[in-house]
Amino acid sequence: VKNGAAVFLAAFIALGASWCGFVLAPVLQLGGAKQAAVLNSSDIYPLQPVGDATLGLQVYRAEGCAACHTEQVQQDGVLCDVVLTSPGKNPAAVSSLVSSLTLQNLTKDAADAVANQITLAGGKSETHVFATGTDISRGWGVRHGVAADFLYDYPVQLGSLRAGPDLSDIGVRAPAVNWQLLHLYAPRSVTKNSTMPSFKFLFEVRKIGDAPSPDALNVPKEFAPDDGYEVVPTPGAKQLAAYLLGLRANVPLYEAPFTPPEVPTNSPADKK
Amino acid sequence: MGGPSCYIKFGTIMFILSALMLIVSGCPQISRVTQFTWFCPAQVQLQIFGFFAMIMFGAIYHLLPRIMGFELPFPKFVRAHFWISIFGVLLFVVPLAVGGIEQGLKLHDPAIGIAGVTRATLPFLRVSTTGQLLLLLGSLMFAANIFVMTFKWKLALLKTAFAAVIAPLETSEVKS
Repeated sequence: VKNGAAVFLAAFIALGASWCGFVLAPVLQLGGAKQAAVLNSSDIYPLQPVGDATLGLQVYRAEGCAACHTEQVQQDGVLCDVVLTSPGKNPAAVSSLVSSLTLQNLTKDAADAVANQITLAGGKSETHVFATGTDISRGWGVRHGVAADFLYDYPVQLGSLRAGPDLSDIGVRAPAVNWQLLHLYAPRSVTKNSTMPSFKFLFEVRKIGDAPSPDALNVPKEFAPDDGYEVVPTPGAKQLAAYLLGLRANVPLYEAPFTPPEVPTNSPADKK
Repeated sequence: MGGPSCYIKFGTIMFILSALMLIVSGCPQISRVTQFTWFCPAQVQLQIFGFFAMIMFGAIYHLLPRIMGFELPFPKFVRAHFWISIFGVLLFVVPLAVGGIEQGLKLHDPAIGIAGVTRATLPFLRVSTTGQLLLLLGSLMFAANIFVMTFKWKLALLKTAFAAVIAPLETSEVKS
């Protein structure tokens, strides 16, 4: 080949540049990511999944859940509500000021200005930040997805098609393990219009022995097997349910701030 | 119309189309609607079946008879496969893309539940499956041509080898 070296060099530079952009730069940015601090709290996020939840990721992957479900919430931006916490020494002036101002759905700058006015009048206020966007209004989460959500996931199951809902915080939306298992066994028994295929093969339908199994599902009559039979989840189903319950992207982080409605719900006491 | 060169022409057009789809879905204003919908699979399938597979079919139909030294066993299948592929690819990809856009618009309306959004795409997916079945039919025709041809070629090779084995030796090679 004529100019072989030039062709090689050009190809090397072209591929090397894209490698730097797509592999090296992200690794430098996020390769050393660690658990992040939750805003206004001593908690860290995400908690390392243990036991069944770790194995559940592989079941999620094997069943191809990511073909129809995403784990990334998108948001358009944030808006602020200013909440009056204390009217201060001059309640009449503050309340007349507050009634003349718009306190909800403000941009950050407008909220700061309003808070400033209230402070000048002697009152005290809090600014509540919340994310906006279609996904948020659909109830698929409280903030957009961030890299920290996937810290312990390997491989990351981002997903690229929404034939079903986003699952970033399915553990918050449906925190009951029985609901999850029933939904896997017979999706239409819990959500009427669902188009999700049934994952019956993750369950064992067997004859009730001397006593019913403690794991047996309470299946509605329409979807239940014949009398004398029970539906028992296999380890795979339990692992998948544990993984789904562990998807709880609902804490404010530095890169995705918002004001949580009450105390952060990521504490172990809240995990069901 | 329908010879191997037509495959290459159609494949090239589909390559340009799929590249345009990729560029369009890279624009933030448009990707707001098309992301997470069937539009992206439509683009990928157009690239695979419209561009890559078509170019490969054309190349194989053109090269194979020249390499093996005899004509394709079912030459009429080449033409039929071409037209079936065109309709198959279009029936496969166009409903997916249109359904994807509709799905994207509906995903942006929080009043419509996710189940409603998915159900709205089902008619598109059904038409799209028809296209896939057409593609399967075309591929079966392709396979028939290739397998029969390979079989004939191997048979011819065997025959030649067998003939060489049982041929009487030249007198010059016989030891006296």
